[in-house]
Amino acid sequence: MSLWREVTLVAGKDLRIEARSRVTVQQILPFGLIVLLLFAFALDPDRGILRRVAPGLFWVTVLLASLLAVSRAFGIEADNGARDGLRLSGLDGPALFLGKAAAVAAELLALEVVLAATVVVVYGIHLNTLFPLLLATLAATVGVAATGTLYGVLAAGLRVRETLVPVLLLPVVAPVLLGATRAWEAAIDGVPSDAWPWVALLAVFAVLFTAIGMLAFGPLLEES
Amino acid sequence: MQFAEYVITGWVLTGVVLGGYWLWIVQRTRRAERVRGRE
Amino acid sequence: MSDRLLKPIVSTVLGWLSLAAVATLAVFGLFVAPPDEVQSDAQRLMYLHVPSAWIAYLAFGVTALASALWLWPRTRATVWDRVAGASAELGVIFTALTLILGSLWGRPVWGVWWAWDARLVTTAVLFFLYLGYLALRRIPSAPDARAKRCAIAALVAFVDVPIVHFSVNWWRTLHQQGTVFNQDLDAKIHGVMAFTLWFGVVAFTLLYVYLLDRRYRLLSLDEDREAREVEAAIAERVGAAPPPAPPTPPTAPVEVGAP
Repeated sequence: MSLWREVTLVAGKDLRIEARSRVTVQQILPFGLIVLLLFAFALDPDRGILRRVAPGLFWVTVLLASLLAVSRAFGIEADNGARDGLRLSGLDGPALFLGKAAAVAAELLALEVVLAATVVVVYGIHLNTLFPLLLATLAATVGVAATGTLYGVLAAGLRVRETLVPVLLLPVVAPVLLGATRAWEAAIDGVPSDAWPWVALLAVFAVLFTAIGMLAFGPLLEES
Repeated sequence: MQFAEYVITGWVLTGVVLGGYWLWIVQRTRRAERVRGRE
Repeated sequence: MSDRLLKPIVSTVLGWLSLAAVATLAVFGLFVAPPDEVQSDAQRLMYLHVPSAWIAYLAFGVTALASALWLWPRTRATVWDRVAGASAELGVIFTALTLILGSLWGRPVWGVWWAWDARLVTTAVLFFLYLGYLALRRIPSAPDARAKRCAIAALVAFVDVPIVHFSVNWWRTLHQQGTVFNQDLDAKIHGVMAFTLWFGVVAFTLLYVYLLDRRYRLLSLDEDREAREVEAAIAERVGAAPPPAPPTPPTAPVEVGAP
């Protein structure tokens, strides 16, 4: 089977499970929305502040939601020897990685659409110059999904998985938070062309961690 | 010395941390060697 | 049996040498070196802060290198996994020291306990990367599984650090608010001050190597004992007699007092 076929097989499986269980839509999305709401409570209701920090709050929320998405991605493999199934399936490590990461990325993108719409409405920002914004979002999401999947499989067999992954993942994706926020700020409030260097950084991160994930997923799955 | 409180705190803290760490290693090593000797 | 990195005599000598070097550093740093023109005596914290930072990054590099050596099948050996673990613990300590000393230095010089400057922020991220690694190490598992997990985590973190540094540096340069957080404060030293700084780096490096060997030894003892305990427990379960403990090597004197 070609790599592409294997990837779509794995991603398809994960997304089909999501379609039936609707965990992303019914649990992770509300979580994200609540976090956005709580930020509004925590900061001065004066809309000026919220508008200024909206990109940062949006991306922090996305990162927190990604923790849940990654946890879920490996939660579904925890029972009934599902991981054994993956190991025995004959599918390549890289394909397994890309498939799972793609599914996580797709779920995150769906979340981001809703969260972004909420931020526009509730925090009162305007999304001008969509193009750099969209590219930045895409690159950042791929980066987070790839890194999350990597740490997810690393912790897959461990009982402390759910408390461990956040502690491992968040420091590593700090540059993504930085780059994505700056790119959004440039696109929304500043000079849009300032966003492009950040988009480049996000793209490099995404490519790098996708490559690392493809290499490491197989060996880590063996040990989980 | 100007800013003596900061300077002295910094140097003393460093000494305490590194010295304390060394001591911890030495004590734990002795204990582990004793246990191994007993087996 | 690879339960030490240095021969006993080398370790002892190195221990005393490090102690002497650090003591000399204290004399130079606190008394011989003159106060700085701008920072006055706060400069004296630099003689600890910079060497600490150097060791924090060195230890991290050693952990990454040892992890890579473990992962590479041809060089795989328990020693590398243990070096990685020992070095990481040292790294966490020196990183924490770097951050605290940086704070103590920053307060008189910049007027604030913390500044969002690229080096401090990257060091803070490094601290959390280390903590995550140590948390990973504490999880009981089959030795090879744990070693593989930790090795990959260490390498991923290692790759991340330059990215963090680059992005934060870029971010802060774009937002530079003038000379309040002047990063050139340490670029103008010369003479005795430069020597003291360099000497500090040397002294801390000696100390690091010495402590690495000692920590490695402790780690070996602990992990070997744990492995024997597991074997004994399994044998008990199975009903057989526990395997005999290995004979204590005749040339392993318990050192009393001397480092």
